[in-house]
Amino acid sequence: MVPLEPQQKVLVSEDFLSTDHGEIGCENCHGGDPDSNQKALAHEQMDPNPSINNPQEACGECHEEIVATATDSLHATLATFPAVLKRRANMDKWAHVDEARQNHCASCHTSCGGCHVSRPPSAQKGFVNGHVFQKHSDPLNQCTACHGSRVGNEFYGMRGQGDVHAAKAGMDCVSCHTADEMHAAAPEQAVSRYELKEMPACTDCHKNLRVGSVREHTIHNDKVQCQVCHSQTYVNCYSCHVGKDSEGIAFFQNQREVESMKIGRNTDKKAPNAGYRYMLVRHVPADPEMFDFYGKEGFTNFANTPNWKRTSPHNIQRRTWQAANCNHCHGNRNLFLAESDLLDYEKEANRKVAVAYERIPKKMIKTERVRVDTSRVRAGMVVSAHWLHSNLQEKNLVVIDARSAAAYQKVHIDGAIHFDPLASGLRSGADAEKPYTLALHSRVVEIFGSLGIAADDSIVVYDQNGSVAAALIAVLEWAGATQVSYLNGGIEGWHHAGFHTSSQSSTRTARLFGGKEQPSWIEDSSSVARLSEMRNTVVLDSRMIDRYQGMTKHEKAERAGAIPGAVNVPFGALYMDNGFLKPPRQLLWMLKTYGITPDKTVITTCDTGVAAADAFFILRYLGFSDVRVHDEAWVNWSRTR
Amino acid sequence: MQTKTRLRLTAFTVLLLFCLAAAVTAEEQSGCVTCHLDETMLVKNLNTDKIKTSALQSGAG
Repeated sequence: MVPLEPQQKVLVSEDFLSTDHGEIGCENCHGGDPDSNQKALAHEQMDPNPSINNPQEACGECHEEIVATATDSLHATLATFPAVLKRRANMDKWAHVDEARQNHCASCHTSCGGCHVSRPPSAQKGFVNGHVFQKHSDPLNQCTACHGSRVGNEFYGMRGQGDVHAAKAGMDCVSCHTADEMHAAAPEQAVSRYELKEMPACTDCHKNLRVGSVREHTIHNDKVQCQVCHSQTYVNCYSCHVGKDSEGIAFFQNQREVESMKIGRNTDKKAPNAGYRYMLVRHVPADPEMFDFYGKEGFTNFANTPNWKRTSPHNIQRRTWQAANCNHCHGNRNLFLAESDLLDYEKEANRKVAVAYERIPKKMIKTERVRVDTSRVRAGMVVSAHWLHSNLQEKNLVVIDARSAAAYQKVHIDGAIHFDPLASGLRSGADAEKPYTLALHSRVVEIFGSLGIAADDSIVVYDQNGSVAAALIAVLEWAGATQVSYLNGGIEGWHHAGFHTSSQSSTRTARLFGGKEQPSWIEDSSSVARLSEMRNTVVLDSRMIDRYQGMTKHEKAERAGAIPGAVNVPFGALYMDNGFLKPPRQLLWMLKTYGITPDKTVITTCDTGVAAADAFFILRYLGFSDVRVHDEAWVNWSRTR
Repeated sequence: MQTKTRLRLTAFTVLLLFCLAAAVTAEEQSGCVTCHLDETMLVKNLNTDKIKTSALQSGAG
């Protein structure tokens, strides 16, 4: 979502004036004084959000039937929040709990305008299309403006491969979440959105699964939620604590986010379309002390409702790793929520959701083998936090922190030097004739030498989510470094392993980098156009789905779109949150589903070359022998082709 | 009717119709859009303070 300047947020388009709503007259919905030419007087008693504050008059005069239920909808009321909190709360402390809810949880609600006119208040507001009323909500500027960190990231490929409904069918939010559901009144005392009978179900479109040709559907139908087999890993949040800072601004601190997948037992089969025994469960960030800023002991009944809750990740794929072989699920203790996964404060609340060992489906004796050859994986290109900790004192080891300078100064691995490759002269700037392209080899080795790095050093690079570290590794290898590794899990993996950190900056004495350039690893746009016609070559586009499909564009690109014939494997398919990598076997299998195998020549591309370099690193790690980077990337391709 | 009078009457009718049309248009278009269609005027008159997020906030919402 591109941020809007203040004037863009309230700029009405000429087109609006000739629409039905445009002919009504602003003051009829918003109040204020249209005859005044003084800003203050014109806006006196003006209501910027009439559909929230006065929906019956503002919208209900024409849309009476819709407003009658929509004002009680989940979007308008967030009714499940107080209902769940009441289950967990010490009702003697309800005033504190409810105050915290109103300050921190209630700001996300929206009404007619938030879906049909503007970005909702929680997404910094602003007209989506010059105040023209949109029949369907805009998926990028409205729906995922709020539902972004989970749904948006998962649907468009920031976490995982994205959703097949977006990638293959070009569907967006309203394709499944219709007006009937959005405008429906929430059931009284509902504690979950799944209680809404208008909720979409996979079987609304995918009918007759029981009698279809897919054997697994016949076997698992009604026993297992569809997402158990068809989702990818998703984010789980831990311990969201709230408060107000010294200026009185409300804040939340989500202590930890973990990308994983867990199957739990379905404890509520009464919800519509939820008769199955097993379902995916997500850890929600509730804990008994989350509202302590407002008063202690607010949640003495925390055990009354689970905080591992049913989830329906928006990252559906027809083929997934857990369904690639029966025994990826059957007998796989790690995939099922265990008592040992539960933290002390939540054991009682989730006891019924956890799956006891004896309930896990038994391993199958005969299964079809997953054919993936891992023998070419260059295992040394990825090191663990434990390996690094054991080798920190090695003489030729250089550890590079590739995060921002501010993040490095706050805390880093002891002895690591700081280098941000995106702000260092390694690439041309945004306003260069050819933006974001790699500098000459002579300049690149000069920069690395000034950091005190030599091509034959053992170099380990880390960052926050893999994106920058992997790109730097690609450049180091291109420049001639011979032993470069990626720290699996980055700084968070290091923290999680419990190893010490420092805030003392480290530097090295400048020296000659040396190193022999690998010119064949980089292709310009003309070569990419020529090579992409060849049978054994794949152009891998690692941008998110919305970019690949031309729904959005990079600010420096001439137009939206993608290189003809390119295959979209979004960044999130290659790197997990926080920079952890899925096992090579799993990554190779996933790439094979796109027709990308180690025998092919693969050219990676993206918008500016960074995500392309990230994909390049992964493919090199997996043992692909002919991988190249389209360094000019889409920004330059779109200007010349 | 004389030609002069007829011409005067026609001119008066045209003028009346024009005034009526102008009045109707002015009535239909709210004064609000005078500013809200003019980006330059909005830039001049808008407060550029962004909604503040606490420095203590962390993690995905």
